[in-house]
Amino acid sequence: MVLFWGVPIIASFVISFFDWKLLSPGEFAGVENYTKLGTDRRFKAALWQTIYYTLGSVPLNVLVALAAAILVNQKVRGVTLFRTLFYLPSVTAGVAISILWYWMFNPDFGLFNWFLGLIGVPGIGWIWDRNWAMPSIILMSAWSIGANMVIFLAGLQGIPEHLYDAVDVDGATRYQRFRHVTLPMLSPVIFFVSVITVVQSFQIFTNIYVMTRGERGTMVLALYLFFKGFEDLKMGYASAIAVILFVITGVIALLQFRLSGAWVYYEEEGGQ
Amino acid sequence: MRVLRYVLIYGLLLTFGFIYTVPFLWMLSTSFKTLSQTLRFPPEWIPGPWAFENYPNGWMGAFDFNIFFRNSVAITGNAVLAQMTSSVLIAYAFARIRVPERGFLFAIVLATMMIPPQVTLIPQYILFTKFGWVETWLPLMVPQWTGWPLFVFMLRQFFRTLPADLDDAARIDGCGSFRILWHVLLPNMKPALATVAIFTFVGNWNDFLHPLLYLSRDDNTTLAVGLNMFRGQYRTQFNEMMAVAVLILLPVILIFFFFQQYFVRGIALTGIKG
Amino acid sequence: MGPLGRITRRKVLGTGLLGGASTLALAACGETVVERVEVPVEVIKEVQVAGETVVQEVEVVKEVEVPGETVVKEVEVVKEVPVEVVKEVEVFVPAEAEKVTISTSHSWPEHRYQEQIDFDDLFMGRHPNIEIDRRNTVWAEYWTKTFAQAAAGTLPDVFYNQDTRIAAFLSSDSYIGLTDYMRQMTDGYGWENDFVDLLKPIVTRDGEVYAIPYDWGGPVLSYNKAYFDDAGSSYPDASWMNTDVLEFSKEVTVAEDRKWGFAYRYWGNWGHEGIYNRQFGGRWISDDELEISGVMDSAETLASNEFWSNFALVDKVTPNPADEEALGVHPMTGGHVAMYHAPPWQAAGFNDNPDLDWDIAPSESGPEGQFGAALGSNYGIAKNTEHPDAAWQYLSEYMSTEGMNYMWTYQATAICARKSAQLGFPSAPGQPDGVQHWIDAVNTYLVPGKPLSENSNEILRINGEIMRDMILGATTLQEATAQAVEEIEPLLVGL
Repeated sequence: MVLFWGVPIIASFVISFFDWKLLSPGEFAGVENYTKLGTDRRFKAALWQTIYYTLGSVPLNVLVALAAAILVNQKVRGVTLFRTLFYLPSVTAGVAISILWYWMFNPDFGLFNWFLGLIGVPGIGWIWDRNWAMPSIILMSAWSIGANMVIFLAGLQGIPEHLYDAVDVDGATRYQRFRHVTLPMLSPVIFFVSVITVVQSFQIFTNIYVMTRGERGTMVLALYLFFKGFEDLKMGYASAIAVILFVITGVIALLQFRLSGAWVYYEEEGGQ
Repeated sequence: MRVLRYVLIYGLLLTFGFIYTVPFLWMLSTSFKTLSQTLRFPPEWIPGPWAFENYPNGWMGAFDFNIFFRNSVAITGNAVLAQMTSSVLIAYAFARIRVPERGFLFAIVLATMMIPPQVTLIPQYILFTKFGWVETWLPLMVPQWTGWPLFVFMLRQFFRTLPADLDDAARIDGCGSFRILWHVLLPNMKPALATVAIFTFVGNWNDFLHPLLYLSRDDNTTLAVGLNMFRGQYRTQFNEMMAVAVLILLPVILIFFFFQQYFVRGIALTGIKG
Repeated sequence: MGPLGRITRRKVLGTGLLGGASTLALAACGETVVERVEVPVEVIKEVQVAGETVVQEVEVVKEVEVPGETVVKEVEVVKEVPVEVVKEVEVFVPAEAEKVTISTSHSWPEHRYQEQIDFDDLFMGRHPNIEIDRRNTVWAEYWTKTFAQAAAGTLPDVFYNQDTRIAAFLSSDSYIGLTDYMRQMTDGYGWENDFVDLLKPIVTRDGEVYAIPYDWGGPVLSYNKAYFDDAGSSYPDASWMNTDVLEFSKEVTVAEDRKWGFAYRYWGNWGHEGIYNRQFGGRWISDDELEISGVMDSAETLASNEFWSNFALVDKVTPNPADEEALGVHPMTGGHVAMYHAPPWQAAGFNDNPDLDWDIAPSESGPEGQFGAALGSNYGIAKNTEHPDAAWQYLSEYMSTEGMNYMWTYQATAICARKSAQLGFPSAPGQPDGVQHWIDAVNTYLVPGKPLSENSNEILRINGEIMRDMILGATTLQEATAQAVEEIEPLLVGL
């Protein structure tokens, strides 16, 4: 693990201090790459837009995934089929499906504006409008809930039946069952999903690369560093962006861990 | 009341089920269209005429997808086996075994998740070049045995939902750490293990970037890379591409169905507490 | 070291009927029967180069309608390749030499890959002691992969590159020089006489040639005949001005039916200056690529950008980027536009649509004359190769007249960088009637695409984004120009 993960990570940290070009490590550049970041307005925009995406997509994604997991956890006939259906968009992403999205997002004859028209709302520019492009990308992310839904489902399935039996004896309502059994028992999983969704949203790449290539206010850090490294061949600069991205993600994850003590319940520590 | 509940549940399932199935239906529909029908706008959902030949033509065109299929099976099979072993052991160690600096080590594992893969790509590539592993499956197979940070974190969270009393009871019965894991904890973690298996399968089956970098011969690369060969710079044969995409997706759906049977509640924790 | 020997009168390229016709019968309500039948391969044309027959062709019958009957026979395009080309091969690797493997890397899409397999098989047949380890990466990801290989010092022995990308590889010393090898060959490999002069500076540094260009061409005005027939207008010709393009576009655009007069695809990219600015005497960066201020914001360039951007912003006779992406198909291929500047390599895509009746014309002129932009690609040998002789053996045959003919000319995908390999282009299958206009254009009014410096990618990405914002109406031409000048200026490093 140290070899396959640690070495490349340390290497990219070291590279961030070099004027690293295509074939040669180039000159030692000290903190020059970092000072350049300070005056790079495209970097600053990407930083802000990454935070914007995270603030929008994480709550949406976690809530929709949890709701979907609860829905497909119901004991009704055929529910396994629906689990698969909800999971499908997570494995059918990519270029092939992008055409469908382009069609739905088209301002003049797209499906979404047609729908808005039905309910009397004037159409918007979606991914083609600087103000709506990022919300559109966030909306798209609500389709890729499959992985989080599966994790929540596994968590729900892991809650022992007897705990529900215990509160049922006390005549608990549906809400009370959820509030006093499901939520606390699921809290380690909710915590996990929240942390990884934040981490992943800081690394959002594919949807934006395919749909807007970072234009119209959708440039995010992972995409920006990819362009810098693989298109402009400025690997030192790209690595510096990565280090910043790493520090920010790390700080936020640390905060989440610190705050988790207040609401996450661990059975192993003997809660009952 | 009960009927109302069923109506509500099915209403929601059907509505959202449909919304989430649209992209797949689109793939399916395109895969049966003739090339000229794929060019029409607005797009037509019902193929006509039905071009069933897209499937054999796409699968056995200039590239032999049987070979890609075989390669993907080998690479993905290794990954599932590797992750089920290594991630479980590492996560167990982090969750239950008291070792010094456990918190610090775990933080490092988490930290590796926070580096975007686009960054480590080049250093990793250079590393594997030095090993002479490029154009072999080793860069895709060996690292799987060192665990995946995401799974380690996830499994650790699941271990922590299991009461410590379980271990203690087993330990009193004279079980060692490994036997506790195997006989007591794992049987209670089937949904979590199934999740790891599904994610590993899907992640490796669909992985594009790594096989793209490490493999590029006609005989050693994977389905995900092969699928992209339909994409030209100026022209893409979407119908054949979708046909192959549907075929590639089938195992994913089957695996999902298969592992789903472990998502069944009723784990016997009742005997221990209550 | 010179060529070690010659294989004479050997078959350099074999013959093969690459596309077969499939048979599919479908009955539709007893009214019309569409039937696909196999066509016998018939030779109707021969092309002679230096007294030798280099190509034979089949007649391509797209549709045969039998009057009075309800049978429509639809015949697939059958692609034929040259029969037998006899040519001397100059040998750099002795037949008794130890067997070596050379790696090659290409970026072919699936439907063009078979020719590559065939070429390599034939090559290995001629040189049993050279094994070709062929790699192929789809275009969108080719660069990611190639940069990783360059960084690791493991570039394939022979690899593909493109005009706007090669400068970065040249400045980091990724290639071996080829001039010595060429000098040892008959007629210096034709470098002086046979290759298009405009392409030479792109692959040459300090007099040394580092890669061999294989194609050269650019977009000229293509048109969908149906729009002109329906409007009762004559097709565009050499007399057309850019104002004629605009007027006709206004006449035929019906946006609700997804029909527009004109599509532009070169807005903000390598073709922008040649296609849109030069007609008005404008430039977007200086020819030495050191200046943009005073160039991109000159009166001529602003006038030309205003003229062309009005197609989208004022007259709305062109699909905007949102419309283009939503169509899911090239607007020309889908029959959504009457006119478009089409490069030769897109002809195969147009032919995917059997309902599209298209042709090309000389590009329209502006107040300062007729212009357009051209771009090319090349192959070279990596610095890290262990078998330069074997790599040159492959490269020299791949980039020979016969190799170019086989891989590009007869596939109708490119006008080749060798003049001798351009001869078969007009008669290749699937070409439009006006095919000669493409060749005339490269020989007369096309200018090299820009930029070609090592920062090309970054410049084009930034310029593309800024120009697209403008065409979507988010910024004015003045704002967009000022922003582009400001952001691109620090990136100009010259050629």
